[in-house]
Amino acid sequence: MTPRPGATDPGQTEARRDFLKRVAAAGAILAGSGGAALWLRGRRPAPAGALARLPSFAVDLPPGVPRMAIARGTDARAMLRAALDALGGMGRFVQRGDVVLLKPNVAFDRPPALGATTSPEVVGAAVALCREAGAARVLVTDNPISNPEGSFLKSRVRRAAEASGGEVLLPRARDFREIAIDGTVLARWEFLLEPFRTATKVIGLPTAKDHNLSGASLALKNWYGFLGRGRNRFHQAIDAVIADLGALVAPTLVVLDGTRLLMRNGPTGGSPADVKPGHTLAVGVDQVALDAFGFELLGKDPAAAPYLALAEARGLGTRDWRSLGPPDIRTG
Amino acid sequence: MKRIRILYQVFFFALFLFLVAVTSVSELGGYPVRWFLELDPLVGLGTGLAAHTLHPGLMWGLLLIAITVLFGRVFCGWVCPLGSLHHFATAFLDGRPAAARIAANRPRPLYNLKYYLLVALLVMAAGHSLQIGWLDPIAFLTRAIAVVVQPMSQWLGQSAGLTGDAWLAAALVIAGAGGAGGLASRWLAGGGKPRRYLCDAAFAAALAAGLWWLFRASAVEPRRFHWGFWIAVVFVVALALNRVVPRLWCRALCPFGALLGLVGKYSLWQIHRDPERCSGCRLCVVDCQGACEPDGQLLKSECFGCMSCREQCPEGGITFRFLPPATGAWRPSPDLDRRRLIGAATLGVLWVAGVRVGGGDRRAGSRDVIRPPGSRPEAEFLERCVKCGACMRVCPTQAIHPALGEAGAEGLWTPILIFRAGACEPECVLCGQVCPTGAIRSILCDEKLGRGEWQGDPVRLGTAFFDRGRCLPWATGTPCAVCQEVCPVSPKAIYTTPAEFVRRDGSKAVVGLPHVDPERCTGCGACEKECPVHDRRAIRVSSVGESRSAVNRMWLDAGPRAPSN
Repeated sequence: MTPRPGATDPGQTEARRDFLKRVAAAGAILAGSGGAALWLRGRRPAPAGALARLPSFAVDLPPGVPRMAIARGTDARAMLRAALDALGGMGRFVQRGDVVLLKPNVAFDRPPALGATTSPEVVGAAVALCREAGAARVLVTDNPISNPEGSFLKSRVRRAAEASGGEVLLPRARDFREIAIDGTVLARWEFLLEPFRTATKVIGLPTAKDHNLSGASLALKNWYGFLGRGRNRFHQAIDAVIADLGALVAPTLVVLDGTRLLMRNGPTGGSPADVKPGHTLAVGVDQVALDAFGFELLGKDPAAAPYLALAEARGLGTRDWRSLGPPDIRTG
Repeated sequence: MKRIRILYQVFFFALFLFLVAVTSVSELGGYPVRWFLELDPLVGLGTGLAAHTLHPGLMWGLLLIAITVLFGRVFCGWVCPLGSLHHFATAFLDGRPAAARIAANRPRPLYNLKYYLLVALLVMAAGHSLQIGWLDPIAFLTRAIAVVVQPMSQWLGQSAGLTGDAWLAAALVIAGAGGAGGLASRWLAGGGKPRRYLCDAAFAAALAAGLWWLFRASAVEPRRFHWGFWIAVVFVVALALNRVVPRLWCRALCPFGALLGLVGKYSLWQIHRDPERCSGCRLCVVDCQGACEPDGQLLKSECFGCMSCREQCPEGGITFRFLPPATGAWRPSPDLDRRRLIGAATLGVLWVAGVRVGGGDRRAGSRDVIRPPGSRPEAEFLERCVKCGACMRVCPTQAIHPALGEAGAEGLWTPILIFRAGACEPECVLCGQVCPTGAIRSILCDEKLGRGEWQGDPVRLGTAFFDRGRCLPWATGTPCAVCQEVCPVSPKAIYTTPAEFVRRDGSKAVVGLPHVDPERCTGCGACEKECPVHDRRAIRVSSVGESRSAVNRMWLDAGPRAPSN
């Protein structure tokens, strides 16, 4: 029996459906690839927003309070407490609930006796006094030149910080962001920004040591440890870069560790013979004055340091640290 | 028995992962991280043949020989972490029905390959070319975890935003879900053996916990190894082979298994099938790991003692017995073809001849072959290094990398220092401490730095040289001297001399030109690491002047250091 005219042959329906499917698939591939190509063609990454800037963490000191104090002795905690008391105590800088970021110099994977890193005793004392003043958290970080785990381990900074209630943050690549520096040399650079998202106070804990290019590595040079990749190009204009770093970071407080002085072969040292006991600790809010004082601790003339002249000219502080009239306290 | 065996496998696998994980500067704690490699008698035999001396820790291998003499190749079935991984991969990849698995677990002539490989590798070792590290399962897995699994798991974990405990939680959830899913699907499909999936889940959980350990015990950033890619490819292929034939590695490739087979064929305990009870159902072969034919003439050298046959036998006809009656129901080992044995030995001899004339100069030293501090002279080094990668894992600065072609054909995957990646930290001798064979001697920091008894004679890895055409002060008059800044010796091996540089416009500038004092330089590579001339550094360390070589020298007076142990 022949099919009625007008009736649909089931086979034909199937063929038609198959035809439509294939045409639709081909069309979708053409449209999809063409659309994707047109969308991607000449596409540029979205313009980055304005670069972040580092806020100031400085606190205003009432008139009459010295901007710097010196303590001598052998017990780091007693020295730090005595020096801070001359400035009104740690409570003037750190209040209850603060998240304090401590920046010791942990640049190298070396034991404390070689004088290349901030003394663990000073780090421990600073963490303890911050906690005592009510800090909710005390973060301790640095971006070492050597391997971070090894540097924090062998310098014993990790153990000292954790024993006093601090948290050590080892920098990871994703903790760095490019920020605006707008210095005389550095316009923008990768910066260890992650801890700054929570920190409310920043305290520098440099150690006093010789440096082959800048004369000494002290408070200003210590901020080098906040910067990321490509730092090894800084040395082509080291003095201007150090001044830029001083202008970039406005800390709450700086504690200069002069308990061990790396007198020569800096900034790495390498022999205990290069290190001299210093029995000194200086605290203050004038980084330039602290650096000038540090130069004298190391037996050098601060007037001969080009970076200090640049920093002073930019209004970051005074090289004439004596003009601040720092109390010089002897402890135990 | 089978469940007890699985517990052993999980325990030893977890222990292995743990020990590799703690081979790390942040987890130092006196753990016996060399133990698995020391327990490995193939490492002892190979290094003993090649170096004619046995590093003390390798005496542990005797324990394993004793166990094998008593119980047969139980190491393969119960202890070997790579074997357990293959076991797990087989269970995971091989979804064949029972009949097909019975077929897949039959002995094949291919499985004799491991004996020929063992012969070739031992002949090579006797020719002072130690290459057991290609295939030794402990060295293989240590290397794969150090160079591939740990960095990749860390990278994946970080990319997924997992840190610390979140990673552990995620891993355990995945393992639990996998186990529960397997169990559920098994039940839904109508019976079967849910226990097996519980075991899989337990194994996966151990694996996950181990990976978590690896992850948290490691560096802040995932490590990258020089051509670790090829080690990854070999590792993945080795695991994927289980898809083709269950435990193909253990049955056909593993020279360690072959060695244990040759010992284990004399074992006192063994599987015994009671022919009275056997109904010939062949269920005993379904999960047989070694393909040892428990349903017929047992091949003793192939049996892993996995007990699957004992567990599966519905008649209770299979037991593990002390000196069972020799009724002709078993053979000690497969028939090895004498011509193939001679062929394997010949290939070993040819290998030795080949690498001697065209495989890299092990005597004179090569520019790029900078060995870890305390390494023995190159020839002795190659007689001991099993390429396990423990030194690569432990190096805190990630200076140590697996060589690809740098150290010649013999030196494949042996450790070399690549200073662009990391410098050798002065106060660190970890690589020698974890080396199981003494290829890198375990030295004191005093010896490395030339203090105390070694006053004035530090371990030198090589010597740094300036490339004056690339060095910024030399080539462009730009001040720099980062190399001097980071030089860790005292007094620094890099010094500068002031010099006048005339610029293009005729103006003059005084810059400090850096120089190396080779008397002071220990070749630690800190300068090369930090040099700002990024792609090809303007100061580079080459191996000349290395303490360990009497030949690779440049000065008239400097004699080689005599190894003290």
